[in-house]
Amino acid sequence: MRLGGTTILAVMSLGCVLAGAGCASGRSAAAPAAVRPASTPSAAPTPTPSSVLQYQLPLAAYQLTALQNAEEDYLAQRLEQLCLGKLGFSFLPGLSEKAIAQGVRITDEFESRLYGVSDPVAVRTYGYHLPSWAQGTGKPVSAADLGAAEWAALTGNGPAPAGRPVPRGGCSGQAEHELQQAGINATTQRSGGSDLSTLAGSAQLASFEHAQSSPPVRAVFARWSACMRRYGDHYATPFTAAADPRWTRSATPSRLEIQTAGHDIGCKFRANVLGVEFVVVSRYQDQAITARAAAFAQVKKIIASEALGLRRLMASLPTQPGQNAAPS
Amino acid sequence: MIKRRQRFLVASAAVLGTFLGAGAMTAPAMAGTHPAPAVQRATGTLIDRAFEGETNCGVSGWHYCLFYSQNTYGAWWGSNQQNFGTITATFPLDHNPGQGQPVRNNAASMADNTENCNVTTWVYPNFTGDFNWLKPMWWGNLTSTLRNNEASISYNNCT
Repeated sequence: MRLGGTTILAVMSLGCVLAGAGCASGRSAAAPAAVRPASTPSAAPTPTPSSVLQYQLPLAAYQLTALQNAEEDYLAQRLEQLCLGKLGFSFLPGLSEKAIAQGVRITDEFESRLYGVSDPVAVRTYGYHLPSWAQGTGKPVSAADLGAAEWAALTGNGPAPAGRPVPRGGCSGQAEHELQQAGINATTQRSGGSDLSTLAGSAQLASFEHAQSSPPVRAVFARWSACMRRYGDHYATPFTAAADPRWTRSATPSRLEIQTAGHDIGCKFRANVLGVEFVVVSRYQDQAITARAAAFAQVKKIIASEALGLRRLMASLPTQPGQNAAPS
Repeated sequence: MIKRRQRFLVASAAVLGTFLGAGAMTAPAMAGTHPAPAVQRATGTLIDRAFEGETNCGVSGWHYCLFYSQNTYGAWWGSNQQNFGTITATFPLDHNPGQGQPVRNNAASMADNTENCNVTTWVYPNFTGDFNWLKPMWWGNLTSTLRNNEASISYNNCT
């Protein structure tokens, strides 16, 4: 693995960059307070990850993992399915625990596109387009296509199926209740407001946004842009390369698009876009965590509780036909 | 059985800060000799707020919709197309605030009207940058970074 041989150097140098002290220059450890947030390009080498999946941002400790998110997705659907099954409906017949692995894979792909495309395997086939497998294994089914009785059973709105008592709030409400009982805060408001559950997500988005206009990131984009010019590609940032109308207006990737996306990733590695983004985003996230330390400590407890609830609920669910026991 | 993938731990800034405070040389040794834990990562922002089904999007049978205003108010646009690398639509002339305006960089809430797919919108075209997402049959308000700043959208992860 690319990082393996450089771990010590990378970790030490990252510490130097984050401390704003510049270890090589011998600046005092007392100096960081005078350093503007994430605005001081460091001459010290930064980590050189070849994938965003190789590093851990500070806010990750305050959020569910991709696997836990996928488990929560699966559990919500499985609980609805079990409830509707008791009422005589075959809901989500294609659902299986394979959905968890699929969810993680798709999240990984989305993560790889945080700073523009960076998954060399995907771009060899799809260029800047989203891989076709990101749709998942099922075909989308509109909720409006459910029959009136099934809709009523799912939502609790409308006439209940004859002779079959529907739980309060329907099977959706029942599933949410069971998740909550297990310590999984499924119904918590997650957008807007000052709810604790929005804290990490809001800080994450802010750190991303601030980083993109920071001097170190602008500098690494300039290096990336210069690298691209050697191939005859003229883009200011990896995002403008992805946004080229030649790609966005085409339903399928052209040979030129795939070639350009390949150059893009090669230049990302040469300029170390991922490493610089990691350092800068980490710094913004650390500042956000420090600024609201008590609130983030609460969030960490909530996440720990949810993780425990997920493990317990996954283990307690009846195994689906044709499958082995649930993962623990 | 799902196996947690073992990935190399670079270490977070917070962890590094702790390590460096205790002695910089300790960190690499720990990182190199201990089993690497499953890496936790931020995964966009889940914006589920309430159950979908009562909005115009649900009634009209679209897989997903974007709304000009928060809480699924205002003009709205829906689609059954899996991907829009760049959102090129305009809000229809429906006598609601925002009608006739471009959808891209102009929406405040989003709805997932499928029973089996997630819906995701990204800050940049072709599904790049940070993102907001919804679980099946939920709607939510876009976060401040994505509000009036969404460029691409897809339904995905269908089961």
